[in-house]
Amino acid sequence: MGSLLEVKALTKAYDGKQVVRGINFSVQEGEILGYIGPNGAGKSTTIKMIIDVEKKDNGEIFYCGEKIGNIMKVYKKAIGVVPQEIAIYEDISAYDNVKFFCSLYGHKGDDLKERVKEALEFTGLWEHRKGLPAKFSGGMKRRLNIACSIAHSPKLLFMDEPTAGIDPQSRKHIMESIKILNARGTTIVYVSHYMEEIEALCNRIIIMDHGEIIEDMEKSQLKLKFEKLGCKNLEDIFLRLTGTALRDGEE
Amino acid sequence: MPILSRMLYYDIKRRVKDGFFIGYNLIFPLVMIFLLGYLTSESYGTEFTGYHYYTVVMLPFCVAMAMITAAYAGKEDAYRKTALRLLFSPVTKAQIVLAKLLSCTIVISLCNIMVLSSASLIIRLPIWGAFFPVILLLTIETFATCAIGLFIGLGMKNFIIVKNILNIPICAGGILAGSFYPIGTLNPKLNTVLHLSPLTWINKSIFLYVFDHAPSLLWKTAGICLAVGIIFTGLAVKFFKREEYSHGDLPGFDQ
Repeated sequence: MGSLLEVKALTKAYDGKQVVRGINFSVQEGEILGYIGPNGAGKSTTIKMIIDVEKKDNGEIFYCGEKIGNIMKVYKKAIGVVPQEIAIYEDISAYDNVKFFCSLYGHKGDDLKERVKEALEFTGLWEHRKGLPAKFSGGMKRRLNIACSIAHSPKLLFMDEPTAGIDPQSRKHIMESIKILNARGTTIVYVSHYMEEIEALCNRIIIMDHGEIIEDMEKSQLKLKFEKLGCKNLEDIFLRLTGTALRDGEE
Repeated sequence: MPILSRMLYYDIKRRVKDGFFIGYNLIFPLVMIFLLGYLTSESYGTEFTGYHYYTVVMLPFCVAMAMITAAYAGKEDAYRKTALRLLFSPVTKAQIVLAKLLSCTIVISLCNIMVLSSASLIIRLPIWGAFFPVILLLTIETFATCAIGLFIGLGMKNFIIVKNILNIPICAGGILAGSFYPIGTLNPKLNTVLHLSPLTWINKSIFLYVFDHAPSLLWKTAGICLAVGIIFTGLAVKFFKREEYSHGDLPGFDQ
């Protein structure tokens, strides 16, 4: 499997403060890449630059070997994003939400209806398709947030804390869904603060802090490397690399 | 085009369901026309009543107020956090701007048609021969004010500041145009000041068309409004900033 996405020397500064400092990494086709770091590490900014929501100051992003700037429409059709914040319209039905966002990718007619149905069934919301998200629980809103992001069948899916603030049942459902999506061929970049999720899902892990990538390797290699230093799990490794000092107000 | 029409369809659907939007553009003008018309009913004759006057001057003023609702429409996706979804999907900034602009223009114009029709039927405004040109002028004015409102709304993070800033020139323009109380003067210097308000020209155009059957000023005014609308649409697309569009919080906003 080759590189689906390559990030080279990516930088970003806000008001003169460097938040992303020339980072390099790639995403291999078919993997689930865990992307972790403390608050203010630069993870969300990196993802926003990759999905073309924020302008990069310097560096290049390649999709299938092509600069994304040259193939922007193709690239945007190929990616899906589950944003950290629930990005849905609460005053239109769950069905209409998925239908609307999927239609932005050019799908229409029976193909569109089929995709909407599949995405809602996949996230366990088909029974609630006529309901207004305003009346949904937190877990249901999170699942709808995912349904809106996968209905167009993206090749590369960015998930930014998709399980934040939900009950264990919904979390389990989402985790299982991610595994199924990956098994069907979707490459996933998974951003989370929940180390047990990263440990359970990801093949490879990137740890970022202070705008730099401080570790990038296969999960098994990473565990092996830090086992000798007394780290029992990913959380131990993470704290060893990023320290235990609080990161208040750095987001 | 299919993506724009899909965005437009959902934007219109949400505008129609938006109580604030409908209240501002349908209920408010009707209340103002009937309230001010009633309060001034003794000051006018029987052929040309206070209701007639306020129907003609209140609609263009309310359309100017639509600048604020358009600015809100421009920021709405940031408050709902859906702006991000539009930005990472294969949608162009021109499609985002046009969907907002056209949905606001269409829904507000439908509100104008309802207000003008109701006023004409209830208070017998002699507008039927001039209904189409007047609605056309108001629609073009709506397009221009929405384009200005969107240009400002998309460029600023805080809707409350936008609203406070826009309120001042709109109300000043309304006062100069006699939207609240008829202002007429023979003093040429004061007359020049009154004509600084675009609303004065729009009101004058409608009065001349409806009561004097003189159409030329109405078409000129419509042409200028159309040009302003096109210019500000172009500016809104050109100066569209992804960061400004996706960021912003409205205190107390809960979708």
